[in-house]
Amino acid sequence: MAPLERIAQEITNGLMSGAGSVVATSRRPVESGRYRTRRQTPLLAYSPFPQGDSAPFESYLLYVVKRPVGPEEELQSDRLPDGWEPRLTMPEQLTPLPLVEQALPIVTMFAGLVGRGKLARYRVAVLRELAVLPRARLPIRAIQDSVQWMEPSSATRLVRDLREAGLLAYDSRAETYQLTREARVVAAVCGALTTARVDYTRIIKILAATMRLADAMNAPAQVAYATFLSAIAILEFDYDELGRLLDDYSDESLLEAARMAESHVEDMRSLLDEQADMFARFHGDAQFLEHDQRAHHMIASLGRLAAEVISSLSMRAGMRMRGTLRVTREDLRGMTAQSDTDTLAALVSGSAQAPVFMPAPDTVAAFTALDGYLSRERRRPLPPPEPTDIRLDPADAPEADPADSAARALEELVAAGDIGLHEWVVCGTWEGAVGRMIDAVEAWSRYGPAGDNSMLVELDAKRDLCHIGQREVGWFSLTMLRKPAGRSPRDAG
Amino acid sequence: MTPVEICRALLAGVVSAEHLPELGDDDVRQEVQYRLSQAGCDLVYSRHFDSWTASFTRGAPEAAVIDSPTALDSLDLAVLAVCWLHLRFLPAENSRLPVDDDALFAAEEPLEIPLEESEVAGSIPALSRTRVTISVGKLKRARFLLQREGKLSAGPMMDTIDEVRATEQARRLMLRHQRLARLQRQGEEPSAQATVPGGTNGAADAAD
Repeated sequence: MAPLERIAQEITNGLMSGAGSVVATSRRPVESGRYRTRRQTPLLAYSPFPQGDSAPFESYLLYVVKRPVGPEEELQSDRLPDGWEPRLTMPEQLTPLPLVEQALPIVTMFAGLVGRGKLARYRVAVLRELAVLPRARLPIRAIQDSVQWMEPSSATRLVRDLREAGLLAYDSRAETYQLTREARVVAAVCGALTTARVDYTRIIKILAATMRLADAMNAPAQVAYATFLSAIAILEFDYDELGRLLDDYSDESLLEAARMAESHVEDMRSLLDEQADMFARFHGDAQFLEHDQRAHHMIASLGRLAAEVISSLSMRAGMRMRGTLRVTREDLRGMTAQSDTDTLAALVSGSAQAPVFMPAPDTVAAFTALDGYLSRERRRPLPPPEPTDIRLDPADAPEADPADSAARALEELVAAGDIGLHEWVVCGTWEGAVGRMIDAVEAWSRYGPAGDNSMLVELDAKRDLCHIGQREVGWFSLTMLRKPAGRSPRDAG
Repeated sequence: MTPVEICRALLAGVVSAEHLPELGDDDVRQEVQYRLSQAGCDLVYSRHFDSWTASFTRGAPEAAVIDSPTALDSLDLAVLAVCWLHLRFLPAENSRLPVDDDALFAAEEPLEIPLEESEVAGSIPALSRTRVTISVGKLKRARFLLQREGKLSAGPMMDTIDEVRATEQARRLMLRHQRLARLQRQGEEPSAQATVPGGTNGAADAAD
């Protein structure tokens, strides 16, 4: 059923007033301690069912709510052959027709207002103009003056239409017109329906309003019951729709549906609160309790699912908006270091208020800590060791330079005449011979022609080898030592 | 306990919710809220510590406060903000990162990492270390912070901070900081190129 049709049906239900009924009211304490007037079932009202037995009507409601409606069962046009009437499959008492019949006097006024040709909008406009006039009894002249945007003759014609529809009563003695009570309701409902389409997000609110309207109109309680079932059906539809969109991975539609479902859940909670007194009349009915449980189950399930969907999608959206913002401790430290203290304080200054309680110092803990501090052993540095006499050794004589010694020894040898180097180098052991050879080369490098040329020895290296064969030396490259001609002895100091 | 007794208990300190089951009743809670509001106080519930206490609705007028040990000045609030950023904002932000796409509805409580006092002092170089120590001491006494084993963690009064508002402001600051850092890096790159031998063409282009 389309939303607009659903609303139209609910308004029709709301207008099912028990004409001429006697209504008993009672006052009973409610939880808050206040008293609330509560309407009870009409005592002498016409009722299609035996008093207190609403089972057939509820069976019908159950049938209507649960039965799938095929396209072939859509409402057909009223243009039918004269005398035709739908045939019923059960006695009329078991159908909603008796209830609907109660609504017909006012519903027919709607038909008289809007159901006759192209003049409907003019009639509705004139009716609404008349409904807001401060005077109750209106002569035709006053009516014509109040509808200044229309010619007086046209206004007169429309007034006649409204009178024929039962919306205006005519007092022939005073020659005045007066809006009937029903006409005021019709004008108000027409005003409330001044919208091109029904906003689906507000549909539970609208159904709740029709329940209040039905209550105000003294409509039978079953009408509110039917509206309640209709509201549950909307929640169930929302739940199915959310499940379907979750499977479709359609984020945008999913979020929109979840938000709508959430608002429906809130509205349904309000509806249950508002109509608690009315529903209390059905608490003895097992079927109603079942529907009541169904409603609360849907409120919980749908509310939870919608909240999870919204939370999840909003979180994802938040992540997308923040882009690659990933906060590290290093970032945080950098941010706080660059911000001034006033900016940082502004983060929490609006909400962080000091507590009222006075934080008393814990004297026991303080003195215990002080006692512990004072009783700690003081750590002193270690004392230095006892002084002792240090043994003092005389300094060694400077060692003679082996190169100098070698130079002197070679000069002494040369002074006696030419001689082979091996005569000085080969001295008894191999290590000693090697050491003397190194010293001789060092002395020649330092004091020979390549050095300061102060050594009075001339080395002449021969190509021959001389055989030694003793004192651990086998062969020696023959090197002759001579005294250079025309040179004075070297100063050894 | 009667609402009056509850008010006395709340004004005396932080009370565990299990000792005040009466506050689970809407009527009693409203009565307590009303009585506290008459004295300029709010009823405060700490979600993390499941406890109740009372806080001032607003800070006391400065002229009226001569020497209040509990009053928090702007420097104390700055230190509190830094602690909140490290203890609550950082874990919450990182817990929101989509670790696993399948975990669509996972909502675990962010893990709080205790904070060193030196970390707080390092985060506010504008304040001396002594000043930070004083502020941390005041915040500990006011139960905004707790100290366990030498480290700071959030106390029950930390839950009074309006996290939604503070988080939005912190994100703005963080984004601005990151943008500034990026601009600075971009500014340094051309100058670094200009100092490279042979990089004069870029400088000439910039001059043009």
